[in-house]
Amino acid sequence: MDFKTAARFGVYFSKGYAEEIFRLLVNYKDISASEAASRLSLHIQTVQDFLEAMTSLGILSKKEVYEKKRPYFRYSLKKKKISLDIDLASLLEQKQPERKLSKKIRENKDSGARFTTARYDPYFSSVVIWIGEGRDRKERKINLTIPQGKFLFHLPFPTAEFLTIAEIMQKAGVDMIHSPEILDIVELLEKYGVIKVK
Amino acid sequence: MISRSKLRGPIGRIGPYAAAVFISLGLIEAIITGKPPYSAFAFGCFFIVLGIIEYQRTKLITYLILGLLWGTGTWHSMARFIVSFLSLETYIPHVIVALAALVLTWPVFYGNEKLESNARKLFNLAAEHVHEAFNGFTDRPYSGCKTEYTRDEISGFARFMGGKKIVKSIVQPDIVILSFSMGISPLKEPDLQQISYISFDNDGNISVHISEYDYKRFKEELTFDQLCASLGDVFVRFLEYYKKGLESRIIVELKSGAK
Repeated sequence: MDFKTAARFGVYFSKGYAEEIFRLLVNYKDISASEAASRLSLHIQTVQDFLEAMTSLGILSKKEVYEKKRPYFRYSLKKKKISLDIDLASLLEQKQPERKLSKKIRENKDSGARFTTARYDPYFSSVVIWIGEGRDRKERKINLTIPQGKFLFHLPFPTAEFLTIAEIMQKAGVDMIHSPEILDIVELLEKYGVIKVK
Repeated sequence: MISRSKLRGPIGRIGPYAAAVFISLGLIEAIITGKPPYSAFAFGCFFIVLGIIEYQRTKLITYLILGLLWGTGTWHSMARFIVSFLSLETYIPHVIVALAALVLTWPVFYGNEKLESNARKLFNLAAEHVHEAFNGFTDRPYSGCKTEYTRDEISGFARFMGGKKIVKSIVQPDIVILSFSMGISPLKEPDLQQISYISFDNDGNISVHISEYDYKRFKEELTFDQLCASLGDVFVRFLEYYKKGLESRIIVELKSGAK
């Protein structure tokens, strides 16, 4: 299950009435929104939204019925077991990592970024960058991990030769196991004009 | 060929010229009017303004105190001609207080002047080998150098450089930092980001940081990474001299940086 779908589930499951609605769905063959709303003393729109969301997420099925004055939907459970299985490894940047590590970078001229060392340590503890334009400009402070701090400490100066990310990591003594977090901070700083890519 | 400094001159250099101008004006005023209160007033203002400017630059209260005492002392010397309750009997104690202040603050005053003068020499030596001016300033430390030394050698080097008031040394278990500045005095122990420094860790790694104020003292925007590398080379060379027992060569080479 991807993260976004799991998050949607989380939003609806956290509702106070979620368990009660599911209890009705398990015990009834099928049920309409108005029947569930009246049974649980809830507003019909609230129940309708919940049932529609669960249908779109594949937990319920609905069929249109034509009774009385106008057609309406009846909802029934498609599955009686729901498990949220999220593979966090899918969030890892694995698309051609070697290619990303061979990007040549250096600090951008006049970026205005302010790097702070943790007193006498040979790495940065944080970097402050400017976001926005003119009067809306705001400062954003990013706290760095030690590998990120060491990496940025060895980032080539604005007038120095470009170096690949891998070369800078080697110079800084940062293990390749930290390459995802290094690529993450490079991407962020590139976005805000602190790092220039050749 | 005379090599000219790539640095802008220190503001204190106008002191002797200003003194000559005000004394000349005082003599002219005395010849014309019989007494020079206006020249003395202007001269006093000069001392006070200079004291304020130097205090704002170095953050050392010494300059402000001395500027105020000498400035008001100069006013006092002529004020007895204008204000009746001031006389030679009130002027002499003022002079004694001003001299006492100078004596008491001399270690700080002299120490800072020496540190600043040597900082200028260090930057001049570094700038000699930088011929491009593509700016590229960043307030990050430059890490590019690596050399070999033992813990004892680097500590001894730091003590030597600090003792000769070439730099202000900070010796920590993991790192040795030699600080110098043409702006905020290292004697104030400011945040390292505000001054220039070179650091030596226990693995032989060297980092160079040039503050924005010091960089702006150059007449041209010298290519920053080259300037940092050159400054690092100066200190590596000085360290080699020290390791070989050739400390006197450090002093001689430093003097060549005086422009």
